Amino acid sequence: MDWSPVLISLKTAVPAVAVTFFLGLLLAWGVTAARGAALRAVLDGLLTLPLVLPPTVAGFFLLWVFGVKRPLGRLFLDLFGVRVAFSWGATVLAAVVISLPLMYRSARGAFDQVDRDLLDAGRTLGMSEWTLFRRVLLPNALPGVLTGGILAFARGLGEFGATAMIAGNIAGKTRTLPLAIYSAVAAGDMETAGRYVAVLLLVAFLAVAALNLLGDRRKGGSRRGGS
Amino acid sequence: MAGLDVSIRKELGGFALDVSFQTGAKCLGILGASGCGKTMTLRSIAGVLSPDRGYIRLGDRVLYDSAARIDLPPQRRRVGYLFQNGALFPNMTVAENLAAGLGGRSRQEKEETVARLVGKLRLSGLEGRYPRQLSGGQQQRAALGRCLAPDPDLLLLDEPFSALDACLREELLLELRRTLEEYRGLAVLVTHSREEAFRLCGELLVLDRGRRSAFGETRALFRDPGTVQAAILTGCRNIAPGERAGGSLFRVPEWNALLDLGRPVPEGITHLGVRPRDLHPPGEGEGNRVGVFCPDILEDPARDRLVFSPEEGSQSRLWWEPEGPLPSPLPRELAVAPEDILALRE
Repeated sequence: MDWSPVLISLKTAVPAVAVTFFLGLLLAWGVTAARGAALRAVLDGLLTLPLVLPPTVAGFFLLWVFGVKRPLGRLFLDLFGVRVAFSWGATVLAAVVISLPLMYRSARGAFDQVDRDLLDAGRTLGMSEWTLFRRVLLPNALPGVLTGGILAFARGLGEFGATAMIAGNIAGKTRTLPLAIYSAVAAGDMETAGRYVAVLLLVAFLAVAALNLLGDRRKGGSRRGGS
Repeated sequence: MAGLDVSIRKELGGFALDVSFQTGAKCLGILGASGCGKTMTLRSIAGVLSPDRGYIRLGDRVLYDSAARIDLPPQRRRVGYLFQNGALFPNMTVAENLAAGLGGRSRQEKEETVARLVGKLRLSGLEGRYPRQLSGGQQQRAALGRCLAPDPDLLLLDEPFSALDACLREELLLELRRTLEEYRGLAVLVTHSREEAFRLCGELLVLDRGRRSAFGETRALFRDPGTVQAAILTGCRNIAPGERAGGSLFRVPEWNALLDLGRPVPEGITHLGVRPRDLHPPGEGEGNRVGVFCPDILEDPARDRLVFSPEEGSQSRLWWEPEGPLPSPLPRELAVAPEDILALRE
């Protein structure tokens, strides 16, 4: 079996989840703190779009922005000598764009669950907004935030549509597991496809199991105590 | 001693707050029914809510002034805020919570302050516990300590006892009173309990639907509330509308009575109030009588209370708290001394 799709998938999903996790956190914090319901609604809508649109639409826009003949893609090529489209970077980019809404929404939901009085109490105690985020908001929203991270990782690993559009399906370069499954089936090699499916199943199962463990720990936390 | 000078307006979702007061009292009470704007006032002073207009001054510091475009962030107001439920940080131990407002101080200073507060607020042995491992009273003591740690100029107390049961409430009240006596700054207590206000506050502000209904020295306000809302909140249960009937007389149709206040009735008086304990069976030839019918008795361990209708079939109620045991048979009339009648404005 050719292990390169497994490697490429991990090389894609791990950096992608790192970017998504912190970007999603900061965006969620920013939108939660944004003044004005209208501004919040617009930002929220934009950040959620990739979740409700077909990934091929996201891929279309990515091509439109980063394609070699587009201004931004041109800029990257001329300035850094980096061709974004149809490269390893493109698989990461596609995974980030598609998984970001999951991270963003999970983090926002977790932040909204934190009692506003805690934040106001921190403010009257002289804590800066950044200190509040680090010491109050994030620790008290942590289970929901980690859930978002796991969901984003699983989604990034399974990304197909946008990846095919912007990164293509180049064996040994941009062919991730989902694309390898598709290619194997298209070539009539059900056995290879089945092996890749097994790998994806295993990883997905581990992610869901981690989610459940996290949920149990959270419940255990609130059950403890009482003296 | 520094004073607190507040005049603010704020509109929020159909509710309008418009309140002004100036106090130098060690502890000012803000008394009002729920939804009267008490907490909104407190949040505006703390700076976690921005008023639309007005000013807030504390001693010689301006915390907020819309005309001068000053709006200090809460972080720089030096105002402590004790929340109803304590709002302790669940992810921090008691010691960490106590030190939460001490950012920027040296480690030694932090440890000394925490140790001092732990001793003062009877929290020793609990320093390493998390808030969920504390009882309600311990939580509230820790929250009080956390507010006091950075040595604020003003302490805002937002119904600090309401989440506790009656027994704990009185214990914490005593503790809070002792703490406030040692505290160098001013305090503002928001409450809907007249007992708390009476026991803790030198001055009292009564709010009614976002506006100041009465303001004054606590004991004087309890003696003569002046407004209907203040009378209700200071425990006067018998209040009825009526009209001036010349000189010292006032007619109360609901009670079917013409009452003599023994003093000229000021203009603008719209209601009369009589406290339940100020009613008594009339003496020989005594005036100011109200007929009472259909008694209902509410037994209490210490003292019984009676509810009457002033007329047969009337919807209105008259409350009486007799001194000593219930007379038998029950009186058909009750009287009130002229000086015990409260003249009230709407």
